[in-house]
Amino acid sequence: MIFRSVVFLCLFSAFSGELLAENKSPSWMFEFHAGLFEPELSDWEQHYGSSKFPELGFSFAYRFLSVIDAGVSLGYGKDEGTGQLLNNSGTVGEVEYQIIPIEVFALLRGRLHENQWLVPYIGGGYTRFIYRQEIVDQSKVQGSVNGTHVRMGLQLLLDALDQSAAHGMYRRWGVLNSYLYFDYKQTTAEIDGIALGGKSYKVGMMFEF
Amino acid sequence: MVIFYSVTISLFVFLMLMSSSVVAEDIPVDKDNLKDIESLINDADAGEDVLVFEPGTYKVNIELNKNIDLRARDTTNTVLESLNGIDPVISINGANNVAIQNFTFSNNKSAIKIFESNFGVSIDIKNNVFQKNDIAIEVGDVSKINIENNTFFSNAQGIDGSLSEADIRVYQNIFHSNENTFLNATNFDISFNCFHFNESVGNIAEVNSNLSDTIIFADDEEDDFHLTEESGCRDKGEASNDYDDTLSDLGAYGGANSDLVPNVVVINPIPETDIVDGSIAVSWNENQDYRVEGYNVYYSTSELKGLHDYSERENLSFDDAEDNTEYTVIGLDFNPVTPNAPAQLIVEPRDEKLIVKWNQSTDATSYTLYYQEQGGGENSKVLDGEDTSYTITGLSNDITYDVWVIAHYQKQYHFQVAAYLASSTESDFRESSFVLDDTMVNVGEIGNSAKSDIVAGRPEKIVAYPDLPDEGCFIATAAFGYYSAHEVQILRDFRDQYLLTSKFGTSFVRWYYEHGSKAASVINKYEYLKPFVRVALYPLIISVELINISFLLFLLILLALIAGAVLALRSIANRNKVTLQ
Repeated sequence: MIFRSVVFLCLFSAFSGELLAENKSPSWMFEFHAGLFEPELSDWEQHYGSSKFPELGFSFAYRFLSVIDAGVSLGYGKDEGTGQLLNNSGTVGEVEYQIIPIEVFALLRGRLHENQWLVPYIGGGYTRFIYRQEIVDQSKVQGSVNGTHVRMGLQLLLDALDQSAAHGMYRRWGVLNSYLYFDYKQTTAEIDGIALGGKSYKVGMMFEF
Repeated sequence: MVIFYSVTISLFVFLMLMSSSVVAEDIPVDKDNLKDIESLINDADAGEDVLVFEPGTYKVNIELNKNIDLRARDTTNTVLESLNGIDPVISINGANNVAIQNFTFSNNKSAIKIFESNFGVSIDIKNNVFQKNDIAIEVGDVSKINIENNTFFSNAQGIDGSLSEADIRVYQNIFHSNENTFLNATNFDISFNCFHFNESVGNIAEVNSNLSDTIIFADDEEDDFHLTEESGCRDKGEASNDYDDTLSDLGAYGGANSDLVPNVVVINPIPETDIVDGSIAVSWNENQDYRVEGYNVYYSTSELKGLHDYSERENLSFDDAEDNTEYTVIGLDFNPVTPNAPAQLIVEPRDEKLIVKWNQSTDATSYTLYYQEQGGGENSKVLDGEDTSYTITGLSNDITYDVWVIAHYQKQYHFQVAAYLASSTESDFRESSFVLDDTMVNVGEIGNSAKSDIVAGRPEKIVAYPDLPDEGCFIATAAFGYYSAHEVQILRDFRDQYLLTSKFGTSFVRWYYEHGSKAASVINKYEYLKPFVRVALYPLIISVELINISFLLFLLILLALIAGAVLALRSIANRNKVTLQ
């Protein structure tokens, strides 16, 4: 039902958006986002208190074709929890876990024209997954591993809601379109048999120049 | 009918008065919440509330733009200094009816500046000490200023009226050792003031009941400007409104608004010989303020700090030492108290460490933590009573340790001495403030608790979740940012294929693993080094890659480079020869 509603809204916005037609088409995109990262590891909540931790980031992309964007993204996430004794059970100590996923991605955007209200997208790419882990007062480890990711989401064109603000953004910053977007991402990365990937649920703003 | 109207109107007027009246409030200002002073002024009801400063040194630049009175309870020990060292401590701009009294303004470029105002202004500056300021008071073009019962000592300029055509009343003040006592005093009404050792006063001191007299302060080097028994300028005011119903003293500590708080009394160090079974002898220097009638010696087994008001002191133990400057407090209990054994001892293992925690024992002033290898020798660590946890380091992960804690109680007595004026009562409290740090002595034997429970702990490494591999950070990894960088992999392959297959190479690798990590940590610490290290490593990486592809190709390229370099050098040398010829 939700899927059908989204498809209907996208199609509706694709045709009704003609009313807002602009002359220029953007080439560059900048976006920033924040959300939650849910690691694949099953015992995460037991050691870190929650199955998810905050993640934020930003990305740049270039539009190669009218429906294909390609770009790079940098993220950062951090969680704090406890470790466990080497030879005994029980969680003790303080552990700080940080991730920096660097991604190269391509997105296919369901955009029929520049002023479409709702734009669904799907894409994926390469992930360099950098991790850093500190056991407070004991040791630090760090490293990185190759991985992949797929992502999908929905972008809402804000210019359609407030055109005067949209014109202001263009005059002042050269922003042609502003989108609020909701993103779901699945990252796959593994090192020594340990799955470092997980799911991301993010909200972000994207600006097209 | 008339009665009905009268009652109705009276009721209406009463209700109007009730609804418009605001209960005046003393708003305390403490130096610990000084950051809120602007909001305190903003929140205060203009014309009603008074900001009352507790003793302390305040660094402030107050802009007073509404009718709020500022007052301190202890002139000598409430010192105002400019926060930025340039702007006036108090700028009055837009307020037209304020009083500033009972402060000490010390070492400022400008203490109080009253800006021009178009309103009918009435500003009172009373019972303050201005000492060692560049300008004590600058007066703008306002209509009425009353500068009454202040002490001006060693200021570059006392009162500057050069911006003003207002009527400035200068009344019952003391001026001592100022360079320019008055500037542009055309409209000043100067009467009943006392002058001593000032420059450029002219004949002012001989008219309008002003006088020149010898002024002896209690201790001007320690900023105590109370008048002594031998001082002049006492009982020389116009009216009998001093605290003892005599004619007012001149200066900051005379008149109806004097604070009646003598300066603080500092207790001399108490030698151990003065602590004798159940009695402790306390001494102090005499307070030279002529009004001081005697001293109260306060004592307690807990700290004596703050506690300035009667309500705060009424339940404290004290003895009246009368006008003596030494007093022996007797009947004190020196018997040791045995504290409870520390409870809830917890030992948490860490890598080569044990973290020990326990609950605070009632009355404990210190703890001793003991630990020993099971069946081995005993170690101990003495800790302050505030600490209820300790990390034992330098342990072995292969050994189990027993840990226990003992609490100690050392009985202490704290003392403060307060000078008092005559007829100090609950409603008219006339005692000096307490000094910031009380005088404390340890008495009697130390009381020791029983042992806490003995808890065994074995240091143990913690493993993080997930247990991730450390990819190390040697020089190339540090320079190129991550372990699996292509350039790092080239060097790793070279290590495995060439170096580790020879004795010399193996020795080099061993040496490098011993020392390389130190260099890598420096590179990681100083990010700007990375590009330089990368540039330095590239010739080596290219060479190694060539060797990996073909050793012969590497040799040929190396020979070609050497030949090229030689040719280039010869060409440069020939060009120089031609130039010289």
